[in-house]
Amino acid sequence: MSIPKVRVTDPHAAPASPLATIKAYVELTKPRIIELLLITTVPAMVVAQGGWPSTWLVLATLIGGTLSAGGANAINNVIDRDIDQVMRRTKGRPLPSARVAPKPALYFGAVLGIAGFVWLWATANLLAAALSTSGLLFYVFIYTMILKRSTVQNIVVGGAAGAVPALVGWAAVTNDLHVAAWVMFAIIFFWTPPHFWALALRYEDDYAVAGVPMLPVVVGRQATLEQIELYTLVLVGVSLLLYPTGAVGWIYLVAAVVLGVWLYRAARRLHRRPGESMRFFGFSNLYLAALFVMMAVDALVL
Amino acid sequence: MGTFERVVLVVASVIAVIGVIGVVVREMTNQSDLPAGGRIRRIIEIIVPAVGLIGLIVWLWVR
Repeated sequence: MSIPKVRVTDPHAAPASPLATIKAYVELTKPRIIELLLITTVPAMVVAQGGWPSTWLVLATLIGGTLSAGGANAINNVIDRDIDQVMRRTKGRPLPSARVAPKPALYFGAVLGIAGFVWLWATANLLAAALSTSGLLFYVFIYTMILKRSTVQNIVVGGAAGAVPALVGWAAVTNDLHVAAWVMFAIIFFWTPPHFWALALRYEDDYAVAGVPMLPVVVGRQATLEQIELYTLVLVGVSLLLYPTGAVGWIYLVAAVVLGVWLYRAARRLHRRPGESMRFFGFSNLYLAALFVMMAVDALVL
Repeated sequence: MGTFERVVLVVASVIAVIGVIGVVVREMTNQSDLPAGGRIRRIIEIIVPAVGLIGLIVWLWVR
């Protein structure tokens, strides 16, 4: 797939201060997205251990996960710089705003990705390292380079990349993947589409201008709202599946039911008031964080 | 797996599968603007996660 060349550097621009350059490179890694990825890693480790694992292992896995996710996001910034430049939401990012040039950004992403693999292999195990790197490769080559610009199902299939950190967390503790780890993967996988479609409803015009076939652009707002509601229903069902795995107890089950009813009601409300899509976006963030925190609480208490 | 766990598994599976069926039906009825071949691709794109989910449910049931 060819990506249009975009001039993003200004040869006459004054050199940035070292602090501004560091800030731009940190921005390349999309720290807010990494935060959410890590929220799912620690509870997966706690449930896998059946209690708090070694604090060093938790820290090491978080560092490795941050390196891999940061690398994936930096490379994504390079590939998407042409569409980021035409979207209001993203045109302030380091590449479209000419604070970082594409080549060093690409090298930076690759180095982070390789460092993530080596670090996780050295401090956790090969399975965790391989899973983390497979998430990076899937995000870059399958989601960013193929799915994002070619199919309305981009975020559905691409959601697999964001679901990998739960597997990494579990594998770091046990060097194996229990069925419960795959249920956690499925929870994040089915959470991703309604979450990002809510964002796409808000920035529908941006995506249309950039030619990204997000659901609201292709099928309209009404059909998107119906899909959000249905995917939320699937998500609630999948969240309950963790209980029969035996990895969690009644504390998680009660939390999953309460949070599920709350999120489904929010999806129904969004259907009636489509203008409140960012409210649902915030709710779904809170839902995922709360659900995973309750998994950890359950494993620590019971 | 105890009886209560099996009940939760059945309830969770029913909710999830109803959602998946709803997604497939909506996708198939809302995509009249798709180019030739698009509908088949769409079915494949939906079937893959759906089969993954149903596989997970079956794995939970028989293990």
